[in-house]
Amino acid sequence: MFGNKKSNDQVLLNMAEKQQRYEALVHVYHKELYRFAYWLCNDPNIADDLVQETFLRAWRSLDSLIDQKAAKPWLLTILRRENARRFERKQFDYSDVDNDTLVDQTSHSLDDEMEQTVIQRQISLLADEYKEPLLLQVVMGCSGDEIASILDLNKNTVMTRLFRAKNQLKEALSRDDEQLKGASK
Amino acid sequence: MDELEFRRRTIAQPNELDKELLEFANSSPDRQAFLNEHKAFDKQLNDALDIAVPDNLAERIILNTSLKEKARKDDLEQKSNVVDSRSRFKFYRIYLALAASFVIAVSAFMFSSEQNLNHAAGEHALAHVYHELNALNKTQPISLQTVNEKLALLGGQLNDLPGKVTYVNFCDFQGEKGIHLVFASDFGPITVFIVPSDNKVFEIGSGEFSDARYAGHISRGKQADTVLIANLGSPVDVYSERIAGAIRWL
Repeated sequence: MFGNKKSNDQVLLNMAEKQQRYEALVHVYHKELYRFAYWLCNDPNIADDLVQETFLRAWRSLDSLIDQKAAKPWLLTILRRENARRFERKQFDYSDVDNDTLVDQTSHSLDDEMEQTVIQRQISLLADEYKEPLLLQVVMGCSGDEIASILDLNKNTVMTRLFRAKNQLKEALSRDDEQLKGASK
Repeated sequence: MDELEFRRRTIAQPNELDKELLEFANSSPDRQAFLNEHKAFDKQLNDALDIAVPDNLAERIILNTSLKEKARKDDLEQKSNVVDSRSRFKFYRIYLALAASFVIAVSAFMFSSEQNLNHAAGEHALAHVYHELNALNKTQPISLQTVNEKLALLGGQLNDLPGKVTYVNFCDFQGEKGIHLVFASDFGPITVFIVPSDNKVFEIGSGEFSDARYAGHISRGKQADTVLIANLGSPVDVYSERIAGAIRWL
């Protein structure tokens, strides 16, 4: 009988430990994941849902995460899979938000705001194959190796896509810049 | 390392350059400037995408997970019970079938001979409470108007509520529509059934009843019977008369 109680205590202890581990994981990664999801789908509600669903699935397979260092790519893999499932299901629950309505709430000066909005729009215009590695790098701070493993690409391909993504952005931004200058003359 | 490779890698991953590349960059001020420019560009991109995250997102995630997990566990338990009973059912199917047909035969005989005997009123009311125990756990207050909208269909009206009403619904009492409502009292949640007296559901049995957990009281009225059930020890008769008296019948 005492043995039984002991093993019950052990189970409870393990549960508490798992819960603690889980909450730490949520606190460390939820912001980055939300931002990544937001820019991936351009919709705050979908981003919220995606992050919720990602962490729910993470909880269910938390035991499979052995190395804490692998947590970020692991969570990202779950999130990308959830996002893909969104397209498998009928996708009419959400309407696409117009890119013009994307709001940046953290910038301070009007100039910054302007520039950031332009950058946001240009990023959302990138093809997915360029956008995703770029978001992983810039928003999530993933290394080339991590991006390669998350997207299941080889490292050189990742580098090429990052290179092209940034070149396209730079080009588009300098074009916008000229237009702005032209308009102010 | 050549200039082209240097530029390509710097543009792609300015914050992730190996030693060789950094040395190459440091060997010329132009390259250094190029590297700095692209580091700044990455920073600029990061800043532009640094939107505010909704308040309490972390707390909501943790709550959502624990709620969904609980629901899933309950669901799984239920399913495993079903599977269990099914496999047993398969095993004893023939015996079960024999036993069932015997029970049906006997009960059909008794049913026909007893002419649809009603349960004693109290038993019936208690069974109803146990059947819908969840109704006792609600906490959201319901307005007098909502209660009256339902009550109006039976032809009744309440001038005021007996307390904070937390549940109101139509219920079936042996084929007759009645009102099932729950209100909060000093003695815990109290269940009230208001059933038109035409169908004589609560006609049989005494006015007071109780079991190990609940006590009840029936006020038989001209238009409707009011049955009140509360935790053992509550003054059910007082509440019951008060409610029966508060209903005006049109």
